[in-house]
Amino acid sequence: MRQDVSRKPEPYLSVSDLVVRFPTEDGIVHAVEGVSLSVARGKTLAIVGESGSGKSVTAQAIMGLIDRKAASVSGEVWLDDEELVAMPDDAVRRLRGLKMAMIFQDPMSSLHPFYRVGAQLIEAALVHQSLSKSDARGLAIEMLRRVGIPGPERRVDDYPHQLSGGMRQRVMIAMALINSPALLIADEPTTALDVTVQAQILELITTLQAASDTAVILITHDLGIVADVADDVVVMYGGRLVEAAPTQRLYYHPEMPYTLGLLTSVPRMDRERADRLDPIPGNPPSAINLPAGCVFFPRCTYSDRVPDGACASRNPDLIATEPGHLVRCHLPSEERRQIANNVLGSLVGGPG
Amino acid sequence: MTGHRREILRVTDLRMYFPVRSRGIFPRVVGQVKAVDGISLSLDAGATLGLVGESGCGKTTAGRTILRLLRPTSGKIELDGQDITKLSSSALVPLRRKAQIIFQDPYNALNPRHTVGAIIEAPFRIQGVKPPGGVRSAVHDLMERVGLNPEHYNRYPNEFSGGQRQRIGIARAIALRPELIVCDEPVSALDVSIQAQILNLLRDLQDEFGVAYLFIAHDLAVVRRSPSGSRSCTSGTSWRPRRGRSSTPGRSTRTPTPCSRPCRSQIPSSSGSAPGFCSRGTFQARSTRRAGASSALAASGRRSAAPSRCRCWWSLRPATRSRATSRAQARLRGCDCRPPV
Amino acid sequence: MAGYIVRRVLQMFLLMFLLSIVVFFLFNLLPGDPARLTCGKACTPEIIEANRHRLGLDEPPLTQYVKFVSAIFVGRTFSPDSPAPIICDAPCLGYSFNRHEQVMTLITQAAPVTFWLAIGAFILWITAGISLGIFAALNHGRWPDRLVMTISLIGYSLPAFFLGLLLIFFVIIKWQMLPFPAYVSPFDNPVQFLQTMILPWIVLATLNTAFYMRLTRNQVLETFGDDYVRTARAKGLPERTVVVKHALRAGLTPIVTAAGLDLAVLLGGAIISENIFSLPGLGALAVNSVTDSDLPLIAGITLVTASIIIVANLVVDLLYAVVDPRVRLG
Repeated sequence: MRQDVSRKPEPYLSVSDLVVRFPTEDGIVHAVEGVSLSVARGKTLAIVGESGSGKSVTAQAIMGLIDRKAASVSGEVWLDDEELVAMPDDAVRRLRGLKMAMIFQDPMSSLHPFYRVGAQLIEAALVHQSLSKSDARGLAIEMLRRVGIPGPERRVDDYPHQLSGGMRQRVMIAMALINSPALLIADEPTTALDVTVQAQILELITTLQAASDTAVILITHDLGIVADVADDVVVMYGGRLVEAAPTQRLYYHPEMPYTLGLLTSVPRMDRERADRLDPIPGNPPSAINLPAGCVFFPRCTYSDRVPDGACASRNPDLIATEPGHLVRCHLPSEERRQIANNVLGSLVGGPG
Repeated sequence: MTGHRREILRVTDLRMYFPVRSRGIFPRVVGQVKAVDGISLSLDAGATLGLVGESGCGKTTAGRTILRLLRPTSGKIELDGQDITKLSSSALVPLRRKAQIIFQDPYNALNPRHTVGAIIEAPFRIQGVKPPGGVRSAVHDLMERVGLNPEHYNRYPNEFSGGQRQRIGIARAIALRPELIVCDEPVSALDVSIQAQILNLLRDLQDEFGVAYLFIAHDLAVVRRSPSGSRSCTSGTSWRPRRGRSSTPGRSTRTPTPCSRPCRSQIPSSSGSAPGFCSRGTFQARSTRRAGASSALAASGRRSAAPSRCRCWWSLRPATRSRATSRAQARLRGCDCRPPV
Repeated sequence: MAGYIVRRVLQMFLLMFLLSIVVFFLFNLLPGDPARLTCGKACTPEIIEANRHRLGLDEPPLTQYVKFVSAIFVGRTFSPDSPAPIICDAPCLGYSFNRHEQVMTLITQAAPVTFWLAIGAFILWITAGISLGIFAALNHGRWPDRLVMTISLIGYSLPAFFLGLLLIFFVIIKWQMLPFPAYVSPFDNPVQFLQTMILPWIVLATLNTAFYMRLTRNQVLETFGDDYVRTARAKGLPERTVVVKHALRAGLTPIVTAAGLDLAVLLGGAIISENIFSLPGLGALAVNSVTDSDLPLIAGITLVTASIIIVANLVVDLLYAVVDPRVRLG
């Protein structure tokens, strides 16, 4: 099912048809429905989506953090040469932190409030490496230095609440990279931070990535940072992958109406202030009762251009319009491009 | 042209310091955290002022101090000409009708034990206001106005999404038609597409009620997008929106003018008839113009000479609204006349 | 932090001072005649008057109070001008005329029994409560969880005397697994000590286990959803470490607080259990002193027990800062 055209060496991570469902009292929550993606070493893949799109659940499923007793996970996740979904929990645990690591959104609550920063770093190192206490401490200090924390010898004994938000996120990054994993998943790493700090953190991630040839998956809803940092983008909506393309292409030639809606919703400095924003009407879908047709249909303003009312009844397949550009939409390709041109044309430069 | 340039808020050299106490046996004040250190600003009625900065720069504290949720260390705050800096809490109560706040975090700003209806009703109860038609119907109207379903009156906040909760907060803030609303990062906790909806809603409310905003944010682009200028829309008359720039506050023209600007996204229907025409907040009560005229209008953006009647959507009676909706259903979908649901 | 401790210690002394006033008032100034109570059946007015003078009860209240308090520091001599003065060594909490003993001596004899009883039960209920609580939390929603909670509910509801009598009847009398309880110091005869104490420990522990099990379960469930637990798993830590070192540790504060205060109360004497199992601890002493109307002894025990709780409160507050480094006391 992998439809990407390999322009590069083998992907380090390759996900095929991942499905995650949570049975609940109200029904089955279809958190992730058939997502496939891949990322190679040294490259950055961005997963873009809003709340409820399933992007975080995808990341957690890759890491094996989904409780198998509470959810059903199926599909294939190939990390280097090992398949993770079928692997027993304990084996996946050994890879967590060693070959793949994850950092989360809110660094304040993601660090244990009662333990010193150094102790948490040392713990992360000692799980996977056999080091003496003093070596581990030295490694912790070195990692703090690498992530740009000034005075690491003193900072290593601080508690998380004594550090600012940006520094805490740096500590999280240090903790994730202390065992030099080949894959780093960053789940909205900058959302809880100030705008100025966001830029620093992103730069840190890209620098460290370049130094170790790490594969990075960046999960976000902020299209601004995606443009800067990602090589490829994947857009998720309602648990499904609705568009996938290299970054440049997605921004200049988006084809799925949802992607278009996201691009036009963002307030931009270069647009006329008086222009109203173009929000996507409605709310993100509930994951419990998935509609039979396209999951974006209730909010799509172009669905009446599709003959036979296919949008309401059939879920569109993921088709490649260009090599490397996948779209899940019933609209004929020409229509999509025309819509995109109209909308984006009024965005870029025009007075509206 | 009648313009009323009235200053709704003036802040002079406001300072808000928090004492730092030492840890000795008998704690003394050894220093100050200078959260707000001498800011001055002025806001006219119906206008918007953006307050931008990084987190920790004191903008949230400034917003709360201005509303007298905190007692300022020094400085002067004048609300509509009245000095409120040193008023006691009981004296402040009637002023809460004039100035309100929308909080940043929709998940924490609503009491989870109160129903939505109770939350929006509270301002009426507390201030002792009895709207004609009763409190309940006023709350229903408010819920519709902000894009909530009035049937959800008895639901609890945890049954709503973040964007909807923020709408509840907005409904609560505008319930008594305040003249000033401090918007403390109202969209930063929301998804991108919902942010756009909420910003549009705030803009519509300002157009309709002439409320002034003190808009606090850390994202310059959002501030730029925030509603600005002032408009008023009285029932029965339409109005001509100002073109683009930051208007001088309070100025509005009240001549009966036909609608002038086309909907942002036009829905071409299969029969090729004209796209809908409405400008912000107004709605075309009649049927469509001829195709030729409409496209000329679209191109020029100027008002047409053809007499059409545009009315402020929310000035219509509820019955008329629903009739109007069903008639112009296809045209309204995607048109920004109607608030998103 | 140091400033906080000093402040709290000063407050503590203030509180103890107030405590001493209250105790003094209750036991020496109440209507009713303390002198009357000193002599029992064969009382003549002359003896009562003599005792009143000996006890110093005919002096003004302030003098009495001063003597009462100073006795704690320097000791006191009762009826110094009679041929047989009674010397009460410092710290003197009073003299029990019923038993012809200094109150302090009686207390120091009874205290170790209560101490062992409290400590043993404490260790038992903490280990059982916390481990069962974790077990229930990990199996949240499934039958082991419900089973454990049901058992805890039963344990909660059994009154101490009922459980105690039940155990005595079955274990000691019917099945004869253990001899009748007879307290000895653990250093003298460890085996008999354990045989005596095991049942009272179980009785005391059962009630508290239920409470701590529930509390631990709730705390662990609450912290399980927190982000740092997710981070711990993401680091690849084994689940056991995640649960104990991360989840439980974060939820420890209310457990520590409750445990500290419960222990303090128990150190003041477990009246019912000591009575049922005939343990000569502070609880038994207190009960006997009330039935004998031995005022000095009652006053002394009250003073000691209340002081333990005051000190325990301070210790528990300080433990807050130890458990949670975010708390900056003062």
